[in-house]
Amino acid sequence: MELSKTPDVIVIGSGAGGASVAYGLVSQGAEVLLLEAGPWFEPVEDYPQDSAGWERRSFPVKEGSQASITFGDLGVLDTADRDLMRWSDVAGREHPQMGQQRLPYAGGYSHVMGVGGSTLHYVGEAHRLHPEAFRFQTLTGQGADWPISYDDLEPYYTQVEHLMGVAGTDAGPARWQSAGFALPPHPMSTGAQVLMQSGDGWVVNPRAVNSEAYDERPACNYCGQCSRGCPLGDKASVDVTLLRRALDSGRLTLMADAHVTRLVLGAGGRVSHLDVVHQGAERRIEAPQVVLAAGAVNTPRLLLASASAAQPNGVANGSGQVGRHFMETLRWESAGLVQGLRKSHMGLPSDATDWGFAVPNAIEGLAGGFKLSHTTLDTGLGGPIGYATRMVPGFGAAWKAQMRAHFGSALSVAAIGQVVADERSKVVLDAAQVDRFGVPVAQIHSVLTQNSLGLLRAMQSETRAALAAAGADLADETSSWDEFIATHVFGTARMAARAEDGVVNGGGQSFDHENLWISDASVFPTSGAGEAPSLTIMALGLRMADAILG
Amino acid sequence: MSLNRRKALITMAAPFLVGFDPAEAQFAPVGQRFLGKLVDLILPQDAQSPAASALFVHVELQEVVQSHELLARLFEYGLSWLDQVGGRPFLDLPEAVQIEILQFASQADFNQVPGRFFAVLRLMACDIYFSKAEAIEGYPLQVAPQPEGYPPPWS
Repeated sequence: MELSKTPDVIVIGSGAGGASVAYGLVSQGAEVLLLEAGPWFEPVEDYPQDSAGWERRSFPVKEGSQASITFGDLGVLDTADRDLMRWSDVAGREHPQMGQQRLPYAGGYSHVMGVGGSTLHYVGEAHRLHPEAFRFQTLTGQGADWPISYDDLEPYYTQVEHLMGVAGTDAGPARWQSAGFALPPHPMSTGAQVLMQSGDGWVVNPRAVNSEAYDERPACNYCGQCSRGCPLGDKASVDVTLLRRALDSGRLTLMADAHVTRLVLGAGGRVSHLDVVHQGAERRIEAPQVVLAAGAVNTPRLLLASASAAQPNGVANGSGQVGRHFMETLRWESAGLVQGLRKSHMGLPSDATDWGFAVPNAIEGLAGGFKLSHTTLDTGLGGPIGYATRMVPGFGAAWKAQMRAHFGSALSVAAIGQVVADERSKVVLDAAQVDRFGVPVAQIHSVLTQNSLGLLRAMQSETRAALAAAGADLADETSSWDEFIATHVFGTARMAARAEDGVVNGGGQSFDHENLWISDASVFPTSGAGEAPSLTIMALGLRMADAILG
Repeated sequence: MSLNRRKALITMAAPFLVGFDPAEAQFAPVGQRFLGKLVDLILPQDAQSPAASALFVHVELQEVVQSHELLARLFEYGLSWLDQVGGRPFLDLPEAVQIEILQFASQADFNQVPGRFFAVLRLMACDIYFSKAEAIEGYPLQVAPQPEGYPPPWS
């Protein structure tokens, strides 16, 4: 593919961070070249929810849609913490090997490489960070403060909510809004209704899913399978929202299967070129302004892998901070059966939330917090396979009758919690393994600290309490203690007020290279207390577009 | 089966050798007849849905098992245990005894062959069986969630 125009900006990565900055730029008249390493996904073909066997099909893996990663130190499973072990009525307690390394689950962290990035498989939770999250270090004495405030981001939060069609009532405690959401809230599923009737803290969870037709996209029909990919386009993944609009402008050139292998520095410390392999052909592309938006694992990887004689520690790494402060998410999920509950397999995933612990000082003696969500549909309890393998033990004819009797009565609550950055948790280059282009792959190290273990116990207590209040008989619990299974990852190229403390400034611009910017969750100094990061990533992206164009 | 589900299953099958001496085992082949009987004990015919073998669950199960060495070994060990534990071949035992043996396996230590084998067998059989339209007769479900979805009201 030859470029017909010289771009003003090159964006690397088309997920929430890349798409938002690309949209912000082209909507103000700039020409943008967007390089995506993964493939295109075709919703109707790739997310088939219209035939038997749908429950066995998770979000599709296509060639090039998963990052090559390895794992280093993920911590050791200590017998003293076995109260945090996963279990279920069906599988019993699977006795992980105590004293052994915590292992990654399947791919290890939840991500998609492709046009639209991880928004393709997210459920579309649309969360603003709590204003106090930006002052985390000041309030807790741990972690870091953001160099920007909630007020700095608020206009961009509002803009994103309207671009994506966020539906809901309000953004949550303390999260002031200059305008209401674009769409009215969705109806509550029966599981959410039970939670709302049994506890005061449960409220509507803001969702980037159409509650009515909006933005030339249809209303949701509540199939409940957002994370398997949305075939209708009512879920606001960025391929059907920001990128569609940007492509319609005629000012965005999008190249899929385009792998940036190196950032090449030129005179004056600017990034002069990008080495790219596009559809198998090597090429060098001149770089005017560059936005790196490859996520909190592959962004530091590319910066580190671009080391040269002049920059032996990698690009943008004058502070030595690239790859440090990696943060996974903590997860505790409790599920049970509620007598009298019916049709809990119908509705919108994560339709209700409880913000009560989503602040920096949620638990006395601990730093960080967590958010509770109603997750019956998100976590695979929308079909009989989920019930058979997690909720209803046994076999034989009597068991089949029990399966039918219980189906639709499952209720699940998950807590997503905050990890405070630790010296041992980082992304580095694997010293022994390279990808097919000869670039070292990223290696993740992530260790649960005593603070994380304390938060996990608090999360366990609160999810159990929520289920007990709803009258559920506990049947299944899973935890990120057993396995590294991060729903989101953060912090490996963090923003800071001073160059020695971070990689980019509050606008996302590299301290070391004036034409290099970073637009993804790697810039988060802290992760928030369980809020989904996509809305904040996109708000930062739009704000960055304004900064680039001056 | 999706890549992540398969990876998870194989991870589950991996550490099953603890406490089992394969040198003393006489390996049974992972045959369709044996598997057909096992899946029907787990998922028998009832008034609303057919037995697992009628939906060829055992055939698909055998294909998956034989496609991965670790799974194949677990099944060989598991079937060998079944053939030895009742004093004669499992398929020659009365059905009540067969059920009793599976009940024992279902309660057995997950890190020993009987417990691990039964857990993986049951998981795979259910995964295949409930992916068939005929298996969900009597459930408040459509064959697939799209294209109709589940519009409200729900209560």
